Amino acid sequence: MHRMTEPAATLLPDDELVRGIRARDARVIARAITELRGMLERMARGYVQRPALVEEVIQDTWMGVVRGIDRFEGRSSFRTWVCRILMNRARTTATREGRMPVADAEPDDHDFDPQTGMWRTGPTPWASEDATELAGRHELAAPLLAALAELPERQRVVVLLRDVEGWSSDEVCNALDLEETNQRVLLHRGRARLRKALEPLMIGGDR
Amino acid sequence: MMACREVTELASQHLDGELPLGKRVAFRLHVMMCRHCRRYLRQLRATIVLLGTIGSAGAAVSPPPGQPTADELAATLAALPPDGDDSG
Repeated sequence: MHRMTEPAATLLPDDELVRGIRARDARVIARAITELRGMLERMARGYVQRPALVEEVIQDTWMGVVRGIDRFEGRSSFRTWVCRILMNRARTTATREGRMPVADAEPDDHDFDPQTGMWRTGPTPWASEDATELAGRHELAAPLLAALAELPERQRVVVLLRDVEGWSSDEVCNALDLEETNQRVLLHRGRARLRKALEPLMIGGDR
Repeated sequence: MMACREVTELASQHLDGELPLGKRVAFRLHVMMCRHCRRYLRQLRATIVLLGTIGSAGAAVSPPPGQPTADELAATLAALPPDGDDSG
C-alpha cells in the first residue's frame, strides 16, 4: 500500500543510528530506511528511471551503509554520508545501464543582447506567477520532477537537496565536496533551467 | 547601471537573502525600473516554491509491490556480518 505523504522527519540522532546499525539492530535499520526513503528515491530517480533500478540503487545504498558503517566518522551528518554512498552506487548503475551523466554546462545566453546584457524580449509571461497559487497546483509536481531529472548531475543534486529536501548549504557542500561559491552557482543554474523548463506549462491563459 | 544578465545571475542570492551588501543598491534600483527582471524574479521565486512542494507531494514512502519492504530489507541487512568486509 502506497501512502502518498511522508512522515515528519523523525530520524534518530546520528549516534543512536550508528550504534544501532553497528549492532545490526533490525528495528533501527528499518526506521532509517523508512525515514530516508523519500529523499533517496528522489535522488536515485535523477540517475535511473525504471522503478526496479531505483529500488536496486536504494537497496545497494543500504548495503553499502551497513557494511561500511565502521567507516562513518561523524564528520558529516549521517544522511549526508548516506547521500554520498547513494550517488556512488547510482552512478555505477546508471553507467551500467548506458545512461551517461550529463556534464555541467554554461547557461545559454540567447535571452540577452550580447552588447548591452539587457533582455532581448524579456521572460515569456506565465498565466500565473503567484507562488502561493502555483504551490497549490499538485499536477505540476510530476513535470517538475521530470525536468529536475534532466539537469546536469551536480546542479540536480544541489537543487534537490537545497530546495526540495530543505538542506542547509553547509550540508550540501559537505555531501558534494563543494565550495560555498560553487554550490551557489550550481543552485542558481539549476533553478534557472527549471524556470525555463516550466515555461511551456505556464504560458497560455490570461496574459 | 547593472545589466539584466547580471541581475538574473544574482537572482537566487537575492531570493535567498544572500546578496552581498555592495550589490544590493544597484540590484534593487535595476529591479525597480525593469519589468522584465521583476517578472524573472517572480517566476524564479515560484519555481523555488514549487520545488519545495515536491517532497510532500512526490514519492511514496514504501517500495512498489514485489520489492522488499523496509522491514524485510532491514532483516537482510541485520544478518550481514558485523565487520567492514566489503568484498562481497
